Amino acid sequence: MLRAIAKKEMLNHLRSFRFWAGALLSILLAALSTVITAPDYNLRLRSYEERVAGERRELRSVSTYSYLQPLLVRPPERLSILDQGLEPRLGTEVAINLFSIPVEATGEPRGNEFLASLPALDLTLVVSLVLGLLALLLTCDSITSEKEEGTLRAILANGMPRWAVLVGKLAGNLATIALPLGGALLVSLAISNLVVQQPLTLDQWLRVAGLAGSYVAYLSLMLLCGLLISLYAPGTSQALGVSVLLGFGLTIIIPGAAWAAANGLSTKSRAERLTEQRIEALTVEYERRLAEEFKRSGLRSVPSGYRASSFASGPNRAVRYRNGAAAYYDALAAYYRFEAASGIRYAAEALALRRHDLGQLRSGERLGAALGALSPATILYGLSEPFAGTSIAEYDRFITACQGYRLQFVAYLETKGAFQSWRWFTDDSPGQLHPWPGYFGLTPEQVSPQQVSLLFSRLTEPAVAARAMRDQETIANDRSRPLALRDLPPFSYRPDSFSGSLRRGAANAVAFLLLDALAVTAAVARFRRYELD
Amino acid sequence: MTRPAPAASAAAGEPARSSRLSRAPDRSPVFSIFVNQVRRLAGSWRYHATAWLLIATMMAAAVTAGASYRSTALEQAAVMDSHRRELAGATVDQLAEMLQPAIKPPLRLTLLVNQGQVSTPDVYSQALSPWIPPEIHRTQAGNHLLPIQEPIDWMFVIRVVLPLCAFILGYDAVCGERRSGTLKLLLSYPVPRSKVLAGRFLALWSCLAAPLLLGALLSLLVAIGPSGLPQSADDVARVGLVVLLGLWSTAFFVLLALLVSALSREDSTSLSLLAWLWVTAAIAVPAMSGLLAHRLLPVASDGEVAQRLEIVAQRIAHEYAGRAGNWRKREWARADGFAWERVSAQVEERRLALQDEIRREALARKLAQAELQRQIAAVSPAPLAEVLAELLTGSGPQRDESFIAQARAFRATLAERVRELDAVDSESPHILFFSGYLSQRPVAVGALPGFVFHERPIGLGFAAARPYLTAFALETVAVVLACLLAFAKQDTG
Repeated sequence: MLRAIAKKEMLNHLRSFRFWAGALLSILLAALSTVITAPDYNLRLRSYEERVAGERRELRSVSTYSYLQPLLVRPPERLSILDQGLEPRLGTEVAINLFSIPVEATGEPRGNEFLASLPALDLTLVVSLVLGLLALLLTCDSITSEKEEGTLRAILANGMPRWAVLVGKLAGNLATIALPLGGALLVSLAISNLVVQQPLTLDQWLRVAGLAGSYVAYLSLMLLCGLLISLYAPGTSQALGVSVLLGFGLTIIIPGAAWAAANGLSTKSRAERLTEQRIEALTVEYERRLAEEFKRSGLRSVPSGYRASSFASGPNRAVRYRNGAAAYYDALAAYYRFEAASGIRYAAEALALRRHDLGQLRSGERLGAALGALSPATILYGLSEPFAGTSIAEYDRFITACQGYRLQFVAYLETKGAFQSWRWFTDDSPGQLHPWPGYFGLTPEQVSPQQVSLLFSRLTEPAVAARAMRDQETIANDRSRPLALRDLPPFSYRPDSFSGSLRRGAANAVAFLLLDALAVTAAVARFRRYELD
Repeated sequence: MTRPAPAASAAAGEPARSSRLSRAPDRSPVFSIFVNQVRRLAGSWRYHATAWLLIATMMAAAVTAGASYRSTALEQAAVMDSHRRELAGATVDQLAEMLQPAIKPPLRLTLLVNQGQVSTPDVYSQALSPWIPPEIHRTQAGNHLLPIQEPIDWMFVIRVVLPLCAFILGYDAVCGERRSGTLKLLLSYPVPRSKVLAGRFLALWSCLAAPLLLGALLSLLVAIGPSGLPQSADDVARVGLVVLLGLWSTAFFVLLALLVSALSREDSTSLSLLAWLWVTAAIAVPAMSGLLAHRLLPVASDGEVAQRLEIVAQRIAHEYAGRAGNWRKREWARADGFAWERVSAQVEERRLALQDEIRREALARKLAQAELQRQIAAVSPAPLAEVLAELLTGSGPQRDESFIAQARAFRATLAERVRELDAVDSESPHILFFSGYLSQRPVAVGALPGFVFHERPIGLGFAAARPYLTAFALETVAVVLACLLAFAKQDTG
């Protein structure tokens, strides 16, 4: 009997216009959005691979440890095709060095800050908006219309318990909505598998199943909401109007208002400006101490024939010296030991300051989620994003992995004795020195401090420059100069596994279960006292 | 199939109307139908729900727009303050490497149409020295960990809430009456069908226009305090234009509801068709437009731009290898009259010019993408109204484009002024604009020009809006004709 009710409910819907229009619209939108987002994933994947390959090339030519600043790149998430989440908004690159601890990734992937702030269409949005509304429309008159047509009395006359009638109706509606949901999911998966030449792994399939599960949980709650409307509405016409308004409120107004409120309470700039000021003060003090230390040795601070020229300085205090004498390099090594040690301390202090405003942003995000919990759509996002691997938690995992890698990296430098040796700042080895006075046929000792500026400015004279150029070429072709980095620890980062995603989404899954149970109880209680006339 | 309840009530209400029609022959039938419909609508729960929804969202717009205006203004003031502190006592030489912010103030009419301006960059900082790359960013960044939210403004109400209200009010305007039999009765009177339609339309339209106008008035009153809007005659004209656009959109969506209602056999079919239309037109199309613009007109990522800039730098370095890049201490270089430094400066200028072109192109492409996104969204009438409002209020990508152009012009003005300040110092080597080779004299406070952003004049907006206006007018005419046709063929069955 239960099955008969479910079947009748389903067949009724399959004959209705609203079902087919909604089902086709959802499948069409899912297909269109995947057609756009899947090639975009390909682009991001290619850019990721290029950056990783470029980084590998770069590492091969590094010849001083201070230039060794591995660039860690976050791989694009395959399932972001189905649920973009935060993926397009957050950075993908983290540069690792001694002097800063990464708290944020940079390098936004192809963002355009001039675009209007509109949510992007993906499968999750299609489910939450279109199928959510369809779910409401399917059940919102399932009781009222039967009452108006008089069939409800006939069904109940069969002696079936009232709750069983409700359950049968719910099962029928769930089976009905499963059709467009399955269709949209299959179409999206098919298109993304066709466009992306990379099969899904078992874990990814499991996460897709998790996504499907969260969609079902959401839609069943929306079906129950529709059923409640139907149980309370005086007539079909009111039920339809209320359900459209409710759908609008639950999927657009409440999440939007919750996020806007949270955003207003946790703007980045104010906290950031304060922190930036504090970090600036810290940096000024740090630079002052470094400058003092640099001046402490006369050899370093006064121009002389021993002096090396720093050829280029990359980001984050990366230096490379050449054409110096051994005494100068020894003095530099003493200084750089100090710089490395205080730099590691400075990084920790700056992180402590930065944690504060990051904490504010985090609490804002949590507030948004908490306020949004009034709407099933927000609960859905909180559940689908962990499965798709596009949640904040996933981004945090990446940053944590980067911070972990930095510790590994510092330990690697320490085992290599990088801070103690000349290798931190120069690739000139004690056996291969070419102090610059050599270009004038002099030794470092022969250059008096008064002569230095004159000789320095003569370095670009054609004859001297040609000699220097030849020297540079020999150095460039010297295979022994680049560092042997074969034992540099590799960075490995994998998106969270299915079980991890499940743990992260657990709170929202429980919320769905509780709300579903609450709605079922309310519906059964109401239906028990439902007047048939 | 029996539907006793609604038919009975409608029939009971009918005699009053028929007697009114027969009793007052001097009154135009359009007016009678109008009054009757308004009475019926005004008493229904649907009307109360939609009217409150409209007014509430417009008030929410006033509150959020005021807050966003104030916080943006505060952030910008903070940026200018720190810049002023930096400027105090600076020498001409120090000026060269200082980033000079050009600031785009928040849109005064942010309450009307905010979406295109709420997150786009508003600070363009440029230094005179070719060594310091320009920075473009947003002062009031918000919390990037939260999902993208559409700001609530009048145009959000007009694009999303208004069609929903029109559809909920009008979905059964024709098919509901046909079901209950009142339509047959109504059409049996010697009144042209077009007049019946006109009466219906006017009733629905004015029922929606009233809360819309009330909401607009209230939200303006609330917003005037914090953001001081509107300030000029132009602003008042713009507010008027957006209100007119809102009324036009109301008319369009009411007509659409009537059309669908006339074509549908049942109430539920009509409402679900309208619901799907609403999802597609008001939400799915705009949500798709950004993605589609991204595919059709991809922009270079920051990394790719940096790569291109680097290639130029390397090419120039290679071209001038050995001849440039020599910057000696002032006292060392004075002997030969800064001969090498001058060459190096020329090379740097050349590199800057080439790199500037790359940056300009990258920005132009981003703006072109933003405009393409508007064009794609305008396929649907609801976002079309929003694009129109952006153009008429001088908001959207056009405002950003004009800001960037003005900021670039500002750099030129500033460079001219600093050149003059440097020229009067005979001690300076006048190698512009390289820190270390310029005048060491301090610059008096107020000696430098400040950046003032000029909003786009209203006439320019009109010119740009013409194609969109035409499209909207054509769409409206098409819906009117379709409505008339559907109503004329109405089978009163």
